[in-house]
Amino acid sequence: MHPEIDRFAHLDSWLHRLDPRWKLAAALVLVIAITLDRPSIRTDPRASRDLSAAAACLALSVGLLLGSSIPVGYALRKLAPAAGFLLLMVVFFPLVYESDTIRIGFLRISLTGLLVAAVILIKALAILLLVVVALGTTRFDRTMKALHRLRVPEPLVQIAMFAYRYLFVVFDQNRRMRQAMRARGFRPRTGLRSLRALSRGVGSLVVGSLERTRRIRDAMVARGYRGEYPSLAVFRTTPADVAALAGAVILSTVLLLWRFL
Amino acid sequence: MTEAALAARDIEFTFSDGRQAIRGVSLEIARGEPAGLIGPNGAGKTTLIHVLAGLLKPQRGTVEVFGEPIGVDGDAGARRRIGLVFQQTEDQLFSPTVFDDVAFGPLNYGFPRGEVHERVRDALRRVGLEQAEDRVPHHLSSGERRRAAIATVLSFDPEILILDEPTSDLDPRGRRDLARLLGSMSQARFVAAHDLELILLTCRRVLLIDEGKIRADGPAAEIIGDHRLLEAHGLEAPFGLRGLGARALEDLIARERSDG
Repeated sequence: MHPEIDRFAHLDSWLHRLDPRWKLAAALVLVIAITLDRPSIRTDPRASRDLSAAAACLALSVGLLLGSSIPVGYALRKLAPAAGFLLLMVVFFPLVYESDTIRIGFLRISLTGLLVAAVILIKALAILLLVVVALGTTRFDRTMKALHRLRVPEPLVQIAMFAYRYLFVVFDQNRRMRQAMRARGFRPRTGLRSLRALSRGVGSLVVGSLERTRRIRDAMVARGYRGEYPSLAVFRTTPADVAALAGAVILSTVLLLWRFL
Repeated sequence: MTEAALAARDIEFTFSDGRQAIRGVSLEIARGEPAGLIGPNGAGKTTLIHVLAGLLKPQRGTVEVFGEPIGVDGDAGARRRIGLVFQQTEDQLFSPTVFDDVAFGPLNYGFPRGEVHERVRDALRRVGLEQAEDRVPHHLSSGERRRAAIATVLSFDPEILILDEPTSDLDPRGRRDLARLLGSMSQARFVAAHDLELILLTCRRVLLIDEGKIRADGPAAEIIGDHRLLEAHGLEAPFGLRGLGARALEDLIARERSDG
């Protein structure tokens, strides 16, 4: 169990108790429905319906977060980098759309663009929060094994598993390398010399990781590896799992029909 | 004549860059025999071990495990009788949890799933890591990682155990625990190490390799007690063993073993 990635996977909530295969399937259904429900590019009554649909998606994700016992502060910290990136993307929408514009000083703001930006931002946050809840309530290695059972291609599952296992090893190497550089007077600056030293460090990390890949492959082959990663994971379906997936399907249907109601 | 557990005949191995690492090595390890491999850095210890375990294909010569030729990659038949513990435990423990790692070998070799649970628990108990099943290998101490690495091969019960520099990251207590663990095993063992004390404690026979050739092969106390031989091949006995001849070393080993 990874102390950071699996930090809240040991808690006990109805979401924690779900079979990870069903939980992932339910999350996937909801994510697809939220993604398919596209906003209309108009400021008519349908647009306000888009906004309320997006808000409902976010409310659902927040509800699931509260039901999962994962601390809200932790989830927000996980969301913050992605939210910042999203904000950078949508901030220009009100400036580039040309319909329903109003003037604020020298800026011409499109109300349509503003609505579209708000809908995209809210829905993206709803999806991310859903993913945080789905992944945060199961140990990562169990999630990977569930994906394997759900017939996600073996190479993708193995890549994710090795990332889980070795990401922090590479982070540690990077930290030690930077310490060694600082111990010899290096201070990161924006100059060419500084960038050159940093790029050499990154290069040695990449080369080291490639070497490590070869050694890991040898270690796997030495224990009978033939391309498939075997697992002893046992999954059991309960009525709650089926109910969770059925709930996700019903909610997704309602969401997709919302604009026509 | 008894069948050798591991037999290599006239092995030659050259890397793709033209560097010849192994030059005409022949050796035999008997069933249950604990043997050590010593040599200076770059002598060819790790390469030889990888050839013996079937990870590298020699350009010339053969490797047999209980009379069966070892293949490279796809052929798991003879390889499942060899348990290789790598020098870098971080690379050997590649799974998300210790349990998964220890189960990896038995599952690949087709042991019944119910039996694998038992095998994993037994292997972890033997190395004293019963409580570490769910831990991420990266967060184990060096000593725990080394023991977990040994458990990953004990779980499929190999008849030959090959260890590459098993004490490279251990403190004195961890080293003593490892020596005790190795001493309690009945499999043939082939231990490559710079740590001459460990070799003395755990192996009755020692092979000395230098520049890809076996330069000496004999009783551990005789080889490690021959300071001229060690010096000629870039090795040095530890401070506490200097000046001791073969006889004195044998007495020392007997005392250490009886002290447990």
